[in-house]
Amino acid sequence: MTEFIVIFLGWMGLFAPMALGAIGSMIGCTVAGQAAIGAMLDSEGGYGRYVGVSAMPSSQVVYGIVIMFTLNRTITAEIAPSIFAIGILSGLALMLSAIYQGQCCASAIHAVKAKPEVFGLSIAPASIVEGFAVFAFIFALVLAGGIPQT
Amino acid sequence: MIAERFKYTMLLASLPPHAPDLLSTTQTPVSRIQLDKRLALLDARDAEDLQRIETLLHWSHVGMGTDEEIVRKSHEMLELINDDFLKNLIRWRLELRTLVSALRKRHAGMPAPEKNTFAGFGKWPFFIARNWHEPDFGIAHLLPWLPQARELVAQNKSYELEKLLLNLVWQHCAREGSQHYFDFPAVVIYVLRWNVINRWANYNAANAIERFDQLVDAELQDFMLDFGRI
Repeated sequence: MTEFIVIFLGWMGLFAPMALGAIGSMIGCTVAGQAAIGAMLDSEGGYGRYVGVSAMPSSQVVYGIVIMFTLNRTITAEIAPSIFAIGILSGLALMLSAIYQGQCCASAIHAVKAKPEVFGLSIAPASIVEGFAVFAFIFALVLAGGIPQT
Repeated sequence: MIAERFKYTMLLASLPPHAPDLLSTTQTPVSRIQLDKRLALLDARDAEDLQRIETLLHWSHVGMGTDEEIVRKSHEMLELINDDFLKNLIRWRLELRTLVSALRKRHAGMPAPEKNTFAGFGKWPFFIARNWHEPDFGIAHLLPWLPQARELVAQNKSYELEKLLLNLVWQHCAREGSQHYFDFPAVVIYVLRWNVINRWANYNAANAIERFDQLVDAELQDFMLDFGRI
């Protein structure tokens, strides 16, 4: 029974980066997308910019997919804990970064609508949040390389 | 929690931002018709709350009746508002009005109210009744704007007083709104600030009309003088 639970947690860890990344991207893109739609109602142009910025939180799900495939191997009781730990923690990092990036993007869109000249600067906070997601992604890949193939 | 904090992202992003400075503003950033169209995105509960808030703060709601009745009705309506942050925001505004009404009543020569009988909101009625004969009701250290308001009331400078009060409300709303970006309180603060600009812009329009009339009168007098010479 214990082995079953350990292997179950291993599978959870395997799918977690993808699932949690997707949840984060959904929420982030929804928030930023709503801001983009609102901004379109109040401006005469720059719609492409708004939609482009609102799609920024979608990258986390891509990182999640890559981590999932890197972790993918036959799950055994020996390697399940490491897959669980890397998968869940990287997934949480991706999810939260997507949510907060969505909030940054919504604020950026709101600011750009009033002052188009601050476009570059306004997406800097969202880019910084993206940087943290990339850290979580890269080091998850590095650590995943150390898990033995079975 | 995220859903509440970003409930009205689209609505607020669709509204043009307010100018940072009230006194340099000459018109509202969006017409009331457009604003009402956007506010149609509010859900029923929030729309009711917003209507209560606007009714509470609009002078036409005051209507006829004694001060005590008006205060009682306002308290009842205030209790119906669902959000504590908004209740406090509105209570602050009603407290401001309580203080200004006390200054005006005293300036009009009304007698000191008996203990605990001054009709108003918040903690100030107690201090107003107790310190009626003190220049700033003994609370100037808590409200730095009060001495200036008292001076303006004493000098019958209604326009300057209104300017001071509207700016006070504007700054307070800006401060309180700094923690709210896309939630319902942010919508309410936007509407309250819109109302302040609207009042201010109307004052400016009224001033402009008055000045225009003065100029026309002056020109007519000159014309009549010139005509008399002919």
